[in-house]
Amino acid sequence: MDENFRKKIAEDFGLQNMDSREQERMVEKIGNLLFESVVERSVDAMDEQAMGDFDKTIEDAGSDYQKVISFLKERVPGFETIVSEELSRLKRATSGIFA
Amino acid sequence: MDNNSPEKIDPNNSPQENFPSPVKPEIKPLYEKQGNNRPETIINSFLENVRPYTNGRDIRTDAFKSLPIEDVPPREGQTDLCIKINSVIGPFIYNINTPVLEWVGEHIYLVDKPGISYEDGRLNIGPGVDREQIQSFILEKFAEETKAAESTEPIPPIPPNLAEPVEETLGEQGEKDESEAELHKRLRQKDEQPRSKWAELSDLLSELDVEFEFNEEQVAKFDKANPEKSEEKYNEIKKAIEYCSSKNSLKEKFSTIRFGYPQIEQNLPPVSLEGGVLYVDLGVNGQELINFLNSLFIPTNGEIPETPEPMTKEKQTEIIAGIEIDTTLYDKNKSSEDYDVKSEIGKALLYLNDQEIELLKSKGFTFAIKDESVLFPTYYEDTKTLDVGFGSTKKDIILAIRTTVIPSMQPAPNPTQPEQIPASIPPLPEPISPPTHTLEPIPTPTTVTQEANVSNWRESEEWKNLEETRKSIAEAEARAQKETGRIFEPGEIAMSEYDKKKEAVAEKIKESIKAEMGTPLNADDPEYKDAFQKRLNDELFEFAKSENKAYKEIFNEGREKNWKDKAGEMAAAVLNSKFAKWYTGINKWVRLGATTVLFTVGGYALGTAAVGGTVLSSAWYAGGRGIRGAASILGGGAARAAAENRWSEKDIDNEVKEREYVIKNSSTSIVEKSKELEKLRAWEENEKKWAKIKKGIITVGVGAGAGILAGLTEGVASGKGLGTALESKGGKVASIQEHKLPPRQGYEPTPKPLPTETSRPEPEQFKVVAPKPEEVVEPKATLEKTPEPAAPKPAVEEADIESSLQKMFEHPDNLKHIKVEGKVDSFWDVIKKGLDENKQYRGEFTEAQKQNVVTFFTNKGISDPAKYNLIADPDFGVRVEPGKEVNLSKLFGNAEELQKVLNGAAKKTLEEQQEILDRSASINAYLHEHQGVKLTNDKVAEILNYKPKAEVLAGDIYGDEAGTTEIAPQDTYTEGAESGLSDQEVDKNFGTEIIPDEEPPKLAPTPPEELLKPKTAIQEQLENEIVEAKKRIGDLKENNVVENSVAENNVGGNRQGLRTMNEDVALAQEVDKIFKENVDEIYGKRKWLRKIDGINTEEWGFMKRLPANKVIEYFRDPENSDLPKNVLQELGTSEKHRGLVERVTNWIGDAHSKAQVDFKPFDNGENMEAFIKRLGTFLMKK
Repeated sequence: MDENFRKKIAEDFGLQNMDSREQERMVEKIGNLLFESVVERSVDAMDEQAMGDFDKTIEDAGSDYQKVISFLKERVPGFETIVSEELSRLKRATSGIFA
Repeated sequence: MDNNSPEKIDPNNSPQENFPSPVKPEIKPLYEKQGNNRPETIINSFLENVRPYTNGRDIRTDAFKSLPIEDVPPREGQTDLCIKINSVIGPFIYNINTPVLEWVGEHIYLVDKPGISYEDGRLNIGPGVDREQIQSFILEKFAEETKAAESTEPIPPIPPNLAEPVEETLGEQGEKDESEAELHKRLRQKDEQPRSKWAELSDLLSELDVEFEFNEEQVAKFDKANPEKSEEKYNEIKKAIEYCSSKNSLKEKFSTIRFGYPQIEQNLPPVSLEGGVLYVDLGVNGQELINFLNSLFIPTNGEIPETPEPMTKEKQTEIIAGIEIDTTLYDKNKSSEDYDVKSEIGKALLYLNDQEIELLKSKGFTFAIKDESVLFPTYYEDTKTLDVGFGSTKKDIILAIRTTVIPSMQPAPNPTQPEQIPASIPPLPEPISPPTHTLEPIPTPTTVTQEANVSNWRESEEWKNLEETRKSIAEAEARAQKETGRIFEPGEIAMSEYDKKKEAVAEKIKESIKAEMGTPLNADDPEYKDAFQKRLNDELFEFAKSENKAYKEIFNEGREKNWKDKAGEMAAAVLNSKFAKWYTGINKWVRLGATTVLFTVGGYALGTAAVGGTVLSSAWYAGGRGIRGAASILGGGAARAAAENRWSEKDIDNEVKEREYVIKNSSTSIVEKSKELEKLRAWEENEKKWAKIKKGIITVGVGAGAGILAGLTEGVASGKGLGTALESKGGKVASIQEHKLPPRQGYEPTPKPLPTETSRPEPEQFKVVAPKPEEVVEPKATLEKTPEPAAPKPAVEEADIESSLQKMFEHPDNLKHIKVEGKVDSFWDVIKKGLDENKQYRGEFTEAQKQNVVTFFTNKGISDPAKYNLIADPDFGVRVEPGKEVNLSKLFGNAEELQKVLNGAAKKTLEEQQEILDRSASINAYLHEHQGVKLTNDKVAEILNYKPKAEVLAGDIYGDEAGTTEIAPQDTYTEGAESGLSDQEVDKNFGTEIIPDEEPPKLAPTPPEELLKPKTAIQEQLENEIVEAKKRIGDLKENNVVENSVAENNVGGNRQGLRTMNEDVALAQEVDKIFKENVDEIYGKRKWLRKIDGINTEEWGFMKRLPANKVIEYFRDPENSDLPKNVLQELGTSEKHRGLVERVTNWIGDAHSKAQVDFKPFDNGENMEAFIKRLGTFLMKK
């Protein structure tokens, strides 16, 4: 992950006092958590057809995460909002903890 | 197969006529015993044997036809015959155990005689039997033969998991009272089960020529007491034997393994060797067994083994990175160019950090190279040795060191107090090695008592307080969102309270961990600090995770349920689980790429912290284009993958170190090594160059070349979809909003005197360089010798105007009433509409040519609006107001001028047109980053990296507009767009052209007719590019990201913009170099001490001149190519040409994925060299 990008995320999540290696590790964890939350919300927002298609997309995706994200972006109404909300919530939940 | 055999019997005759078969067909045994008992071999052999009875896919004989076929779904490519055979014997064969399989393979014959029989050692299968009968019969016959063989061969160990039969039958072994039915039953059981671990262990020992004996009573007891563990145990023992570094030599140490013999009662260790028999207790664990077995092969001082030690090699060692490697068993002959176990160790050491290396050294750690029998690196804590078998990779080694070796060397996080150590266990002796920190005091055990478990913080008062606060905030948020449909931001006071309580819990966690880990005397001990920090961070993250979950649960309770019923919820849960499986299955770097994209969707922009730590979406836009281009031009197959993976200089350094190590340790000559090292240096230089360009812009490498990532990040960087939820105190995400100024209000027309250059200080003033004559007419060349042609006088007379208009336009009156539509039309648009009335402009021009013409007249108009009956505007030069009409008749009223401009545009070469687009795109990108910046000549020069000549326009040529050195203001802004960016802001940039440093031209003759013909591919290409560019800018506009604001730019936007623009220019200059590198990769040659660059090879010389469209067509559809025969011959036989076209095709694909543009060669004979460079330039800009 680009250093500046990571640094910024680290700042927002109160990880700035950690050394860069730890920051990287925690940013990775936070990213995973974000992804999980986003997909959970996204699946919840999907209709039956979309769920079936998402199922297939995951099966066919292999390492092609773009395929998965592209699907979510196209088929989940308000995907960007979901991501923003989850990110915001995650930040809220995290604030004060790592400080 | 003997094809004559069917002649002896007639397989086509009815079974009745042929049974019994008088002569057996001369067919080979089904299965030639060649040490290969795979089912496929047997089936293939079987197919060979039944061929006389078949006719292609059909089965000729009634005998075979009558075999029952079960409903077996055919696999792809299977013939009817295969299906039939598979259905009859396949399931049996695939499930059968090895001894029976071998027996079957040697005996099956297909005959016409009904039923199944076994005669003269042949199993004959005829009509009327089904699979079950075949199976039963085979098992019976096998049992018979097995029993017959018992008199001469020892019974193979019977799996103890068939406990009952073992006790009943083998318990009375030798009495020969075992019924066939019993054996049949056992074998059937065996057939129906997967191979047991016991059987596998037995097979392994059989392969190793070691007898296997076991104590039935003990084993049965063990199985009974550990019904679920016994298989694990057998597997553990099997693995231990497999992992023994010299397993193939075990038979030299012992001939028999006795398993489960009650040696334990004699106080013997769980494994012992006595009289050539290895006694293994049931309680042994795998590691003990491995250690013991390996110890048998370690040259010792004579304690073990019993058997004389075979000739052993003298111990040989090497030192790498200060660590000893036992290379006694290292066999260099096994190494290949791609793999060498010693190199793998060296590479692994390169990846370890200094601290890790120091720790290993200080503890006396060593490696020992073993043969391939050591499947995975195995660590022996007592000797501090990691055995690395042939086949282990650097990853295996690093993993073993980091997960096993180092943890075992580090002090336990929870040091056991001395009194808790059982006296019977002596402390492990420290290896004799120099201490790492000689000056530091020797640590003594901590005296801090251990507190409650860390997770007990959940029971603390602080936690309870937090839960209450969280609950109230989350519920309020959910309620508010439900009622308003909008995201609710809790108040600062509430959040502050919430944060405080979390901090209290976090502090509690910290205390708990400190207590748990104990306080060292030297609190600055880096090892302790690292361990503590890691532990703390992990626990805090768990806290954050649980907090997030709890918050979400409360929040979700307050939300309305969606459509999903119970079944839907179940399906969603399954889907989530499936996603989790997929997500955890992809590798870390791919995951990082995915999460990076998600962060960007959530509002983080790439390369953002470079300027003041703020997000400048538009700055990223241009930068992102540059870097994606860079990735793309490098892209294509392996090159792209490599570029994407090397995303930092550090990684490149590691890679270089690794390659250097391999080269230096290779068996090649010094000359070859030096050549390879030279090549490596060149590679490193190239990679680092790109790494530098990428730095600050690109995020994780995996996404660099990805269109989707680019698209997503682009959209996000532009502010698309950002919710107010991103606003958070102190959060950098909020800075995106900070850059969104309030929507600009509509412009209130205030007629002012015609502005002069010095009287227009307005910050939003937008200057445009007037069009150059040479862009519309024949350039310079003859200027020095030829007197300047008389400039056409402006048509001021009404009659002249009317005449001119009628000459140049089909419906001249339309020019007097160009309606300004909506709020998007600008003066630029108005000019375009007017010019659309001209047939040549409308029907024959590319977008670049059109831009050229529109630019000219736009600048002409704004240079003196009053003169052409236009309304001056202080901000944009000419005002256009929605709903009103503009009269362009005066502006276009000079037919001669218009024709010259059109002719000039028509004569634009492809390169010139491309330049127009490039310049427009560059300026456009710059303006979007630097809204409000005055576009002076110097600024434009800076952008385009060359100095224009401002005084080129001769007044005597074009009158008013000629000689205009000022940069005219932009068209009137018609109405405040809600989003803040109007089309004219989009379009004005395309109209911005630069005056090259050239002399004024003379009037151009009308270009040849063919130049005026429509160029379909060119037009399409250029139009696509324009449309794509507009779309991008439209996105910016739509998302209200870019605003004209000097104030914003003063914050630092300029610096950022200049930086990225300079990078763009730098990238553009790199195109040629990268082009050469790519050609070199494909066509370059190395001869003895000499390298021939790709571009200097004959092959490239041949390829570069070929028409690109024809070449690409040829590789897509060779049959229909109309290229000359000799060219076809060359293209068809050269892998290099094919490689180049594949690479080019990949780049075309990149262009499509990044910009949805079907980038293709022009159909006017554009050659390969020109096309590749153009394509590279395009990609660099994306």
